[in-house]
Amino acid sequence: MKYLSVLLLLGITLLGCNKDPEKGSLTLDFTATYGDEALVLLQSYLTPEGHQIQFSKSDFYISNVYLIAENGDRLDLSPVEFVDLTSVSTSAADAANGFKITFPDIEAGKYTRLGFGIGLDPTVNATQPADYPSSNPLSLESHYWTAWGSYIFSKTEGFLDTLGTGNLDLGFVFHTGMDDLYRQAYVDVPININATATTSIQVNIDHETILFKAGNALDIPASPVNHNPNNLGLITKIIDNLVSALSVQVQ
Amino acid sequence: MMRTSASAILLLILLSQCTKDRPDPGDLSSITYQPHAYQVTAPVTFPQMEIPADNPMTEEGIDLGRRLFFDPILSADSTMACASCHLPQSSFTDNLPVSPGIDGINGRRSAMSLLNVGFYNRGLFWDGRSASLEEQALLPVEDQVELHHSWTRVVEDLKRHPDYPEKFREAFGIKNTSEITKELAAKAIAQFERTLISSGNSKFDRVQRQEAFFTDEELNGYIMFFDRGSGFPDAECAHCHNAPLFTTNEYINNGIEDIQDLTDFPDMGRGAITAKTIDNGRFRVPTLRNLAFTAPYMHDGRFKTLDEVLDHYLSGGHNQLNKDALIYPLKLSEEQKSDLKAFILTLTDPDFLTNPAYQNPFD
Ligand code: HEC
Ligand code: HEC
Repeated sequence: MKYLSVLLLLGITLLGCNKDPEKGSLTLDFTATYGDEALVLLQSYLTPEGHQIQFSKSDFYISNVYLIAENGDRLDLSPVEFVDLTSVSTSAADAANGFKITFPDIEAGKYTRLGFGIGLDPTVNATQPADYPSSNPLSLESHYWTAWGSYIFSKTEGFLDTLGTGNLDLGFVFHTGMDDLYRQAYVDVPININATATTSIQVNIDHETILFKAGNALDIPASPVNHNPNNLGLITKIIDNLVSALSVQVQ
Repeated sequence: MMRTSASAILLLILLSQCTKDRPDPGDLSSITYQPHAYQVTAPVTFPQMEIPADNPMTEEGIDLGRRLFFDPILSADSTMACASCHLPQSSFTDNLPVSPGIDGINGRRSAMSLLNVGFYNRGLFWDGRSASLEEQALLPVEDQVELHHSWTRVVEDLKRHPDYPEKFREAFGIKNTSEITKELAAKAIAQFERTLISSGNSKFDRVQRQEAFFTDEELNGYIMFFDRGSGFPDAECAHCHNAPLFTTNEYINNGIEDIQDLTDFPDMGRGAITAKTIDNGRFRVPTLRNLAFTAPYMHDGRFKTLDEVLDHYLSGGHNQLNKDALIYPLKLSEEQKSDLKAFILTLTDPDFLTNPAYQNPFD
């Protein structure tokens, strides 16, 4: 009889579990533009100088993705994600669709802030691709630079018409990395997570700002290829511009 | 009418008696099935290999896979095996620009080294069209310019074979010969291929472990390969051929084709798979480990020597829209070029070629 009541109690508690708060999901939809135009690889855009520019690669790591709930609680969503804009910028249609990362199983409710790091924090950056199974974004050999002892936080590559003749005569390759360049970004917006529909936040990255932010523009012909820690000034500029290039819209 | 059904009944009785009297010749259940788990060992700097949950590696599975890999039973005229194009002594390539199959017809691409192939999970083949080793192993048998056979017949031959049924039992625990399938054969081959790993005894690996020192030339080459500066020009190689596997497995156009338009590539490579023009002429970056044994080079074997390859990279290659920005005329002197070559040759790993576990089991 005693056992029976224990079982009953257990049964009731289990049933109680089903009344857990409802869960919903959140999708971050990363889109790429050059100014107001959708970014399509190997399509020409104009620099502030009026010269042609094309992009061939754009990607970056984000890390420590979190939400802040209305009551101030922090909800961690993911340690690291790789935002591969190259893969979605092959046509205008794909570019409009964006690079989507979905976080399921988020407690339904109201949130007030979305935040993430750009690049990797020093603890994660002290690890290496070999420390991870090949399905983890941190296993990308293409994004580790031995000479820096650092992951490559972002890659921005393409071609530039330096002379204004319509001929794309110069390739540029900007890779950023190293602990000092880790940046935190957040945006305060009302975010409603509910069980019935996936909430979507569009994060746009304006590539014109990455290279030519007013007052902080790169001189590409002066140094078109960087992956040298001596060039810290240049890569700091790029990563700071990347933070400024982000804009957010909740749908 | 009555007659037919009566004889049918008789036949049924006879058949059932048969099974009672004589044991099923396909029955394998008396053979012990006691697989031994196999632990992958790789140099410490290597990533963890991901092994599919439905194909755990066992000594018995690897042994079966190795037999199948070297056995011409997989080809229509019993003249060729996987190992005919992937030879252990050539780091599992065939040293031909492109590989002819059993009918002597040339394929369109160069056989790939299978060294460290178990670590590659961003697509297999030069164009990435196959997702896994299990999937890949099914293809050569029915490929017309490779083994040009049919799996139905291969499986029949395996079932009738004096040794294979027992080997399949030991590897996969099947209870009856009738359970041999092409999928199990492919799983076994994949298990064998996952054991094909660098020995860790190349000079580069020993220097990494501080058991050896680079010569001055090798060290200069190392600095340029990894763009370490110190007064040397960048050679940019590591961007695509990064340590420890010396490939990033990305799909890239490295500018070897002398054409202008993206639709003019004689082999579209990645573009034929993704149907995106921008991927035309892109191929998966191959490893630079054991290059000393894998000439000729590139997907079509166009370069006979490492010097020809280096001359290509120093020239900056031919321009197309999607040629990678890191392929541009390098500022290396002749001496620096030879230093770079000296470094690349520290990736030579003869122990990989002679590992007894990789040799033909029928010899
Ligand atoms: C006639 C020569 C030939 C035969 C026989 C052959 N291969 Fe290959 N193998 C090739 C060629 C050529 C390629 C590259 C093909 C391509 O990219 O389209 C290749 C590629 C591969 C790859 C991809 C490696 C990578 O890094 O992506 C694997 C794995 C492989 N072969 C395994 C096998 C197995 C297993 C067999 C036997 C079932 C076999 N091959 C039989 C010529 C051959
Ligand atoms: C931008 C990326 C990139 C860079 C930088 C690069 N490679 Fe390559 N490499 C490739 C690709 C892609 C292939 C295969 C191309 C093909 O077969 O069509 C390749 C092929 C090779 C091969 C042929 C290997 C084989 O098994 O056939 C060698 C050797 C090689 N590269 C050496 C080098 C060296 C040395 C450097 C530096 C000077 C270098 N690469 C720089 C992308 C690159």
